Amino acid sequence: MTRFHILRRTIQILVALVFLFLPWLGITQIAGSLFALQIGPIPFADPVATLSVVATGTLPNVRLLAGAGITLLIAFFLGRVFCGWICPYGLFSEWIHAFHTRKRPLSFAHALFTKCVILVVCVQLFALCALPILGLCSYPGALSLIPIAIWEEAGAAIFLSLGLAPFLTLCAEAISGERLWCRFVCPQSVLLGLSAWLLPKQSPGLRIRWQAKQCTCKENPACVAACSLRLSPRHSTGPNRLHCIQCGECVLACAKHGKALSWSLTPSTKAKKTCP
Amino acid sequence: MQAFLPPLRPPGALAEKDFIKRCVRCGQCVTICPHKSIILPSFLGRHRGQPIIDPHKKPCYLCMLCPPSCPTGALDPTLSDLTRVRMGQAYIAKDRCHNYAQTGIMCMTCYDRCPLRGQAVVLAMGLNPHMTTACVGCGICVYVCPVAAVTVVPAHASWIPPFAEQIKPSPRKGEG
Repeated sequence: MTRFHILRRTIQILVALVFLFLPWLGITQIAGSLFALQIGPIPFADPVATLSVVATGTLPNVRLLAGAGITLLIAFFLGRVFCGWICPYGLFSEWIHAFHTRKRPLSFAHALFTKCVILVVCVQLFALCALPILGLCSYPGALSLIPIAIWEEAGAAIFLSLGLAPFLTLCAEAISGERLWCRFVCPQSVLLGLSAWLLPKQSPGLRIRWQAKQCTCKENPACVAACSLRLSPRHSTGPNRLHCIQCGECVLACAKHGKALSWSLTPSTKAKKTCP
Repeated sequence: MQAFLPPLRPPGALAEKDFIKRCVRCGQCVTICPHKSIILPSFLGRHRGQPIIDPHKKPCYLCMLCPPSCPTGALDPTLSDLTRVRMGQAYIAKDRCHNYAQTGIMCMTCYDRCPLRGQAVVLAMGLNPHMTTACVGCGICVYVCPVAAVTVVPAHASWIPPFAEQIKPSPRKGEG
């Protein structure tokens, strides 16, 4: 346990606690859930929920569009920090994963394809026949609605409705030892990941950088073993921003070996000087 | 029959088919409501997680805090005049109301408690309550009626409850 790890866990737990007690706290500055959130004057919105509104052919209010834009802009520069630092489902999933012994990793090959298919099908089903499947499989939003439902005395049915699917998925993750939802299903991660992935190499942004010269591991690198999503950060551009949740576990693991991995905020490649 | 009607939505809600497209189920209208009138239905269905008002449990007190809280525009954020709310229309059942059924009890609870007093409920001949077109559908009369004689039919639903007294024109000037 390092200071960095403790900081990240503290933020995750704090976010979960804030949402857990938000309806009773009486804070007017923070309102809503992870579907759409208002913090002071700044709106945040789930880009997938916004996309599903747009896909029906109706343009939502500026506040929702701006909220989705802000969320995507954060992902663009900082990567999928939402998944690694904020998402309550991610916290539970990481905890369950931490209790598991490492096994042979599942292939990541079709993860993006699967996720995209799920996202498109959900958005289309909503647009065509108003089936609210996205409400069911948006785990961060659904989990953050549970305290609101308890507060307005909705009854025990709300636990089944909002909490059952995440709970069953956590059970499946506990059995398989893999973070199945975050890797293969989560519709939110698609848009956040795509936005993060679009960051050009020349622009500043939060990155994990790998320096091949300092890397000492041969087989079974510590960074890959540390990654709960089974990514390999050993590329010149660091781990794939599409899938990386910026949790920093690989950097921590590498610190005990060659210190080849480090955080950086500067452009990953310097602008090429034009040679005469 | 009422199970097939669209649900009663919070004030300022768009027409049902537009509302279900726009609402992203964020719950901001739910938490801003000081009376806990707005609830998120939890069952699996088309209305899952989108806000409704059940006037039998808690009616809308027309404080008008929820329309500006909606980030999506599913509730009209510019709506602040409570007389312009169109959540639904209340109907009074003549076979149940004390005054119509002449049970010997003179009851004016719906008339007394109506937030649009003298406009949405008027007393014909000073006795029998009549709903008018000024009714906004807040459901307070449903909540307070001791004999469950009042039903609110959500806006855009074309159904009239049985034994319902006819709706009178609004007593406000310039409206009919």
